[in-house]
Amino acid sequence: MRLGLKTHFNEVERTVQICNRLGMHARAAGKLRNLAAQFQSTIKLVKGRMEADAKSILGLMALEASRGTELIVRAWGDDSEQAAEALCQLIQDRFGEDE
Amino acid sequence: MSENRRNLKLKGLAASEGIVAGRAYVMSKVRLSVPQRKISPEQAPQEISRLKQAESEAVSELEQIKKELEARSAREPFFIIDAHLLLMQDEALWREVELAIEEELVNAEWAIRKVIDKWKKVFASLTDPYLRERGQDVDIVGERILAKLTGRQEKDFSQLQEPAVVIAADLRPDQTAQMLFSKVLGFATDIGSRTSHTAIVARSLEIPAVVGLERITEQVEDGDLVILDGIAGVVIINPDDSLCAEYQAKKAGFDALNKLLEEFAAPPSVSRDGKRLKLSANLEIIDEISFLKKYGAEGVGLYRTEYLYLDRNALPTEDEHFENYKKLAEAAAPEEAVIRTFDLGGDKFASELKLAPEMNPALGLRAIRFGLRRPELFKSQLRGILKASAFGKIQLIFPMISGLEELLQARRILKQAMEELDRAGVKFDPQIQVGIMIEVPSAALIADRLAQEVDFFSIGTNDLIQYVLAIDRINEYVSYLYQPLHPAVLWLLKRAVDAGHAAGIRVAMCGEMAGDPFFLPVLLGMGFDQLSMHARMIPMMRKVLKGLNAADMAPMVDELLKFQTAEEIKRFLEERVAKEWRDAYHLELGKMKVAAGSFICRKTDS
Repeated sequence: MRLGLKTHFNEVERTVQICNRLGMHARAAGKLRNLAAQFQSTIKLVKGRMEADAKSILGLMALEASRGTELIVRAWGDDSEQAAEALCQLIQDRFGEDE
Repeated sequence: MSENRRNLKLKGLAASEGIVAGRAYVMSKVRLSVPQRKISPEQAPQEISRLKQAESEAVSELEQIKKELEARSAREPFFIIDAHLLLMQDEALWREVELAIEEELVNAEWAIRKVIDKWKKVFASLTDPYLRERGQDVDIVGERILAKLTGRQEKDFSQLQEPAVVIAADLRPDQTAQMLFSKVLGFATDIGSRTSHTAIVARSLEIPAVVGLERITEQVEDGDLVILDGIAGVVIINPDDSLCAEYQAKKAGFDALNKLLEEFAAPPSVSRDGKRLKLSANLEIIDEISFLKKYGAEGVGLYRTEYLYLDRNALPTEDEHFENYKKLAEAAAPEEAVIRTFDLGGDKFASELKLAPEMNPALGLRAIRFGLRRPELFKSQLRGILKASAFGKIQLIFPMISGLEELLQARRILKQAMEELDRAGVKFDPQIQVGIMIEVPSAALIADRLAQEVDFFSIGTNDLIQYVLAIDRINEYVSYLYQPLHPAVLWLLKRAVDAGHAAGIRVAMCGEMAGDPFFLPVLLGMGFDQLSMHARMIPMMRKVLKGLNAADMAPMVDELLKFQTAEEIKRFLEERVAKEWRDAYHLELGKMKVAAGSFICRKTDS
């Protein structure tokens, strides 16, 4: 995990807040990864100085994104726009959880 | 065999009942050792394809286990397998390993170890305890793939040719699950507690188990003869002939008792002269619903809901309550299930609520007091219970009520919960019966007043006796004073039963006293309508009941109440057990003859 400084082709950035009660636990991370894997783009989630590959469950869990955590979704590649949008949507939908 | 490993007796925690003897099968204690091998750049693709091969083998093995479990409709405890599958199929993780192979030119095994160790370190440094524990899952996944790569078969039960006793540091969920279809006689582990995952699975599979033995993996070797006593929580290594014989007799007694009691594992429960007494089960966790049928329980007399709250970071949600209670109601049908609202103090609550520790928790902020103090928590549970009441005969009971105000307050919150559900159009049983635990002496003393406001009483003797006699049961210096037959206790019990009956409501008992055959004549004589106990005790109680004349017991209780001391009362009862009630208590156990009173009622001796 390192600080991403470079900008890339087609790069988009969105800010989103974790709002489900349990935060990004194992199952939620699995859902997010499966969604991310459907896109060609490289997708990173950034929390403060930490950055994780959205296609790695381990990386996502290690972010320790609990409820209220602000994350930046950064994506670059052909479908970066759609990818960032979809990931933000999942997070805002509380990963499909009830609360 | 060295002398000090003969007759070695290890004491642990009894996790699952039963006695077995067999050869030890010790699971691997240490991680596989992995050699480092330098490779040439040309060999890298070959290493990567080895890695991929191992990966897919490990995945299909796990999927196979999952399928078999599903076929046997094993439930929740095995959700971890899903988590492992998820990790195992995480491409990012394996890309990292591939990168290590290509860049550092090392063999696949070494690359895996390196990457896994890195992630373990990352997880170990996390602050969230739940996420920190996921480091173990990463490790397990790595070891599984390594086992495939090195071709070294990880020891597992499915390879057992002969029945054996499994010895392990701890068992992973996927391992305990495999016991369903293997020759495992029983198991013993270094770590664990009665409520740890492995212990729960062992009980539901009815495999004898002892956990928390600390160092048993170091003390036993493959092939040692082992006796495992899951009743006493003892493991004996390399026992001599006389010990073997002793345990054979013990096992025969246990088996004979179980067999004999099968005859009494079906309702109804009736005394010799035809009086019905409902015998129901106390349950702690939802997996125990299988006991209801097995022991012929007449409903659930007490469902403790504390386990929903313990050992977790977050509070249970309303839906979790609902799902759990719905299962309970459906399993208990057509009989009723009595659900007790949480009996916890702030200290035992999920870490989400940080409260100051108390000097005297038994007398502190707990049970209904805590619920009234945190109505939002309390109401969330009540709504879950109410929702489930649409799916079976659920009754509700409040713990630790000490006076009328508390009861009325609790009922007000219940009413609010009902109104909320009603407005939301959610179905529930509006006539749900509401009862209280009688466990605080003040409640027993004003039982006549409380009886006007509830549908039933259930007397919790464990706490009631402790509070009446001012005895801390856990304190070894005063525990001898814990006397269920103390005249003051009997007098209070009688008073509560009479007050309940005068108001026309049902009176039950659900403490340990209710499941002890020795006390049955007294409870029968007092006129209890229902006794609720550990389900396993039900057949024994039913058998003794069948031999007793209920009509004789009421006058006997009047007599007992005139006695001066607990000791006198106990002697009086013992004499009757030995003479008049001999047939009721007698059990034929192989060659041994054991009176039920002496076999089961050890607790009354102190």
